[in-house]
Amino acid sequence: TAVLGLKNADTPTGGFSFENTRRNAVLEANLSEKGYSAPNARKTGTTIAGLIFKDGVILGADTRATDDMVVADKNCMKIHYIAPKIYCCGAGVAADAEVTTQMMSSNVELHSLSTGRPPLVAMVTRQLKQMLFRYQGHIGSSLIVGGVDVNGPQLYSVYPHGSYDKLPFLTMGSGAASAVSVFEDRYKPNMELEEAKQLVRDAITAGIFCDLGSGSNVDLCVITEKTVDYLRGYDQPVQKGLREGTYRYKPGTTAVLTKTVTPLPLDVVDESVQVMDTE
Amino acid sequence: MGHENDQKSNRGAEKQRKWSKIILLARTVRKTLKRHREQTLWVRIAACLDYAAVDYFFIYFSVFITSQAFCLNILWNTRGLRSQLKDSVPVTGLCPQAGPYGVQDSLRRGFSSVKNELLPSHPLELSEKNFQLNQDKMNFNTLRNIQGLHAPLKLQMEYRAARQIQRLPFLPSSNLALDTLRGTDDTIGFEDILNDPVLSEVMGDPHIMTEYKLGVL
Repeated sequence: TAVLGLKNADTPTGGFSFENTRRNAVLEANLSEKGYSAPNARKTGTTIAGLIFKDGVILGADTRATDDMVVADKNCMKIHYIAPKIYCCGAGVAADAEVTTQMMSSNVELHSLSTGRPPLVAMVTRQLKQMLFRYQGHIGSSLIVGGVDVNGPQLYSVYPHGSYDKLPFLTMGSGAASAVSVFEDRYKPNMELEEAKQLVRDAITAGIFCDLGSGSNVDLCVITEKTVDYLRGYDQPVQKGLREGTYRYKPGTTAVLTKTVTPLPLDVVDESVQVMDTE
Repeated sequence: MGHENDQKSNRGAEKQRKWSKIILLARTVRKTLKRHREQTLWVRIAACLDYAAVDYFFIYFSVFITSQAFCLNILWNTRGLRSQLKDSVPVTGLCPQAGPYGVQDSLRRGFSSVKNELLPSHPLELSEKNFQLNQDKMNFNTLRNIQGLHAPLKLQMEYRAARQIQRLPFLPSSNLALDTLRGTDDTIGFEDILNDPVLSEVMGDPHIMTEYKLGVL
């Protein structure tokens, strides 16, 4: 039967392996009976936002990654490179967003080498949504793709189950509601660069202050037809507070009452020489 | 005059008898083919030949071949993509929960039950297993609707040829020709990043695998 089992195995293909799902299900059932829970994947707990202004696209993100209720990374990069003029913000499960954007970047490079043209933002969105739909939402990454191509500045958001939106301003992540309220209030079409940067900064700051899952700094990425400005740490609305007093003791605070010194004598018991063969 | 008429009527009756025999034989051929749907071509021909009368061999042999071709390619898609879809997790060998040593592998597969053996453990398992096949089916259907039946037929012939370019059975093959035909040679997906068969730690026993491939085992 061992021989038969090996013989009947199909030619191994790559991709996801579902061998351990049954074992994991049994383990989780047993653990939950005792009150423990299996570890969760680290989510980014994010506020990401995107905006189309007069000359191009501005993408903004906060920099906190959370592990349930603990901050796992105080300064992570959520704006990922896809193509020279296309960047992508990722929210949701951190590993999924990272791997998805890296795969998209490779695919976009191969595709543009094959066609001989610079890539379109719509192409990135299409590949993303087809992949995410194939995995039916089990890849938990929500993404905002923005860039400038031959059709002008474009901004798309893709949800984990594969749906997408094309809008002039977008927010995603746990702090999306706070950020989109700022956008809804102050957005105007064809804004200037400084005004648009300020607006995105305000939106992300609203997410940082009003949402527990977002925090630390604001990253911005300004994409225009001529340049790309990746402003990492553009604003730090949350600074670590300064301690008012010191809690160190001055040397000599504790008085010495007695002092005893006990030398430990050591005798040589055995001496042996081992010659190393250095030839 | 009467003699000629008799001859004509005789010939007419003979012709009718011949045609009725042909029709009857075609019917039995169809029944046999249905019964042996899953067998190879030669088994089917052999089964049909059982019904052939020796004196009508030539006529009926041609009827066999054409009816086979007709039934196989158009009526029943016995080698088509739909018959290759997997609708359940395969049961390898006699002991479904067997690990590499043939004994129940409770650590990896859990306690054995009928549900464990038949149902997939993850909602994506079946859809991922059949994904390439379903993509091909969809693409061939679209191609057939746009360009006609000849286009998918020609492409499928090329696929079959490309699929036969393999290394020895226990070694991983690159399937480069197949990838080029499908257009997946310039895309990167999870099947290239995760669980690359080139880097797999286990390999089938070379002797057993080649013997199985050659049909000697």
